[in-house]
Amino acid sequence: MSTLVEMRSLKKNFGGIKALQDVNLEIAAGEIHGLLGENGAGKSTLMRILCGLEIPDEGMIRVEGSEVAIHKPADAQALGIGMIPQELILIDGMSVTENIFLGYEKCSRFGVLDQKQMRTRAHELLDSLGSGDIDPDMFIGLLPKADQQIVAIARRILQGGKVFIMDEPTSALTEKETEKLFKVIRTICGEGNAVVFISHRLEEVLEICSRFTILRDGKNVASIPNGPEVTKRDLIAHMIGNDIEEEFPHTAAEPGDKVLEVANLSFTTSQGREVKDVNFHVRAGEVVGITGLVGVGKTELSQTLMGLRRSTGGSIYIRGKEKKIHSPVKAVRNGLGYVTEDRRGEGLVLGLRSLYNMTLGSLARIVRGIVIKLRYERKIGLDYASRLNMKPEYVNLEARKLSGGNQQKVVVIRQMMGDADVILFDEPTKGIDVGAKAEIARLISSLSGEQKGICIFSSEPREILGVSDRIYVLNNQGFVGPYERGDLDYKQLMAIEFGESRTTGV
Amino acid sequence: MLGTIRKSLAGRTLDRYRGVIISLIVINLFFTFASEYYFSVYNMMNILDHSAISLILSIGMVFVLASGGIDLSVGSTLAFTGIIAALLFVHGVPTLVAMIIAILVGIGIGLINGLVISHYKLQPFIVTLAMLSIVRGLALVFSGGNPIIGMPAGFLAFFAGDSLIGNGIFIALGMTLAAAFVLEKTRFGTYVKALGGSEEATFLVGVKTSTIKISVYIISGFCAVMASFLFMAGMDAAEPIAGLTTEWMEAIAAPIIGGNSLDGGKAYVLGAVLGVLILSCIKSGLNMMGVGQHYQQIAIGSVIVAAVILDSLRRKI
Repeated sequence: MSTLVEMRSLKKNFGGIKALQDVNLEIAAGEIHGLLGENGAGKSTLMRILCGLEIPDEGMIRVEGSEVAIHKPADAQALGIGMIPQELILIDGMSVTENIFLGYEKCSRFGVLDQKQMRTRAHELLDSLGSGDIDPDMFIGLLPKADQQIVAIARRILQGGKVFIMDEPTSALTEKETEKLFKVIRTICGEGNAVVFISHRLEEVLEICSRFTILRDGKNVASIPNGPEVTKRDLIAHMIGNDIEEEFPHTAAEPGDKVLEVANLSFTTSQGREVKDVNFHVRAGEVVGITGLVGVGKTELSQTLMGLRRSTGGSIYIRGKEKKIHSPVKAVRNGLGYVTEDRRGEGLVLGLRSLYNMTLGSLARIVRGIVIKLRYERKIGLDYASRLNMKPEYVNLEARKLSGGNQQKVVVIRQMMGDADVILFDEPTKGIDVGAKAEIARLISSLSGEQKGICIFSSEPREILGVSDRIYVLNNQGFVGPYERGDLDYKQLMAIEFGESRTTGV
Repeated sequence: MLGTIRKSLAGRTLDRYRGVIISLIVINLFFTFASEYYFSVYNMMNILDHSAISLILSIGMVFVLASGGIDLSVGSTLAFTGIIAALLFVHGVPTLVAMIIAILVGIGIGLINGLVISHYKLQPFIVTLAMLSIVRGLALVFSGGNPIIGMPAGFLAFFAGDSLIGNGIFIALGMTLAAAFVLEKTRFGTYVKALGGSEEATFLVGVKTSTIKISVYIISGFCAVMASFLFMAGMDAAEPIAGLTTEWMEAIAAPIIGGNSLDGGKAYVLGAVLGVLILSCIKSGLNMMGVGQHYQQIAIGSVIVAAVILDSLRRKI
């Protein structure tokens, strides 16, 4: 087999973070190459480089033997390399034919479209992929997801694509649709093309890939051919390596009453998958961690609890009473607080001083009549800031000027001042540097010390293991748990996240 | 297998415009009963004649809206390029040369709009709002604030004609057909809609999105000049305050009434035509009923709000 693409000694830094360190990747013609690794191992960065969306700091790329420079998406496309992305880049309001030919329209003179020929060609192309049932005149937005992906593949083939990069292509598909897609993938690889397949679903990866390259912390750890002897366990072992425990401060508080209980809740993820039978509870003074791989539905679960997303069944009890939560206003009135993943966008009013951001949700308690008691506001702001190791001068700064860690503190202080009994954190340390992460963890623990119930939704296993009193896992089989603190180590948790073992905890 | 439930072109067109067509019929029925003068050959011709200017502006706007943008500066461009042409006319520049210069000025305004929007990645709303003010100012400065009268005979003959129904509506219809052809049948038209549908996707397949973006504002600028010629021929004068209030608003409202969207990605030229007719019929009908200009503005505004609400309801379904 000839080598189609060869990436050598690639390096890429983002700020101080080493995303890729001397990474190599070889893709041969006709192979379905599985690129594996944990969240943040460097898979996406590597593929973004190959597609011209990111420029490497160092390293070399060869395509069919000759060295190439890929600086923009058009360069990669000219070389036959393209991504079939997770969020499909198709235009909903246009037809299948129009999407397939976008940028490559067949025209007579003066740019007049030859619509008949394009339509026929589109049908032939889809037919050759075993998908002749897709109507070339249908609007893309009305097709099922798998068919949309097939259209995206057809488009790449038409554009002379040889290397197809597919990032989590099956995450939104049903089993049947997945089979249909796999058939198409095998067809195109049989013709001397190659597919780079990125997926967290290890069963699928084992089923379809001919070779694996595994990354960890931005480095190559293994490159192995697939075969009957390769197991899921092997892949996981390569992906997580030897775990080093990180220190997370943890203050165990005496847990009180159940403040939040969720019974048989079901909801739909943004990719349209239904998650059923979610059962868990949070006591006052307790930290509950809910984890799982990216895209499995953690954020959607937190949104369902906050009334931002409709539940499709089940009940939510707050302090023992069943509550119907249809909107965030209701959620807040019932004692739920929410710290979103997108602090800058949704959590903070960036142009306001930190102090005003802190008191935004609890102004009712610091007013006399309609006038805010400014001196009192400042006093309690400074008080909370000092408890969280935040410098007093930051209190008067505009929120936009603070670092990510300090912004997170402001949002947390707002929740501490508020009346919430239960505070939900969605990815609390995302985008925060390592030092500040431990501090946020300490913060969360201190909140639990105030007899608040804390619920963390996070993709970072170490964070979850470090701060949680109890852990639940969302994986492709459903909602698993509880696991008490100390029940799980890193490897066991990852195994559950990948759906490798279903051992239920105590 | 293919095209299992494909409808004829006429059937699909009727589906898409059913609401607008019904509204147009209802409006006409209403005014026919409300005023004995409304439903006459003369008035119908008059409505068509008065629709020409709005129609031409709307056609340009369909391109801009389809690309996901908006152009607020068309009314000012109409006034300014008219002043330029008229100044050249009265200084003895040959008619055709003067018209070409005015067209170049209109295209230039569109070019600047497009360049600023695409190069600095700014909101079309604010850029063209600023342009609205700048160009209106220029029109007042160049004209000294006064209308310029006395258009050349050849110019009047071509754009106004001397029959009951002016030549304007035929020019407008010609431009409408050309626009429909470009948007439906050419590569450029596909890119305009693709740009409005998803700028990122369009960029990633290697389309020069900035060129497309600039082009739609140029088209809009060109349409403003053509509308300006009709306006001047109708008045036998160039007005620095032409297109100040309702014209540019109607240019945006008519396409939206006809099913085009402020979000971009759609280009319904026929919708814009129907939208223009609805607004013209309402204005004419209210005139016939003796409703004053000031109240008409209130009525037009209400129609626009109603159309936008209907549009958002339609999108939710």
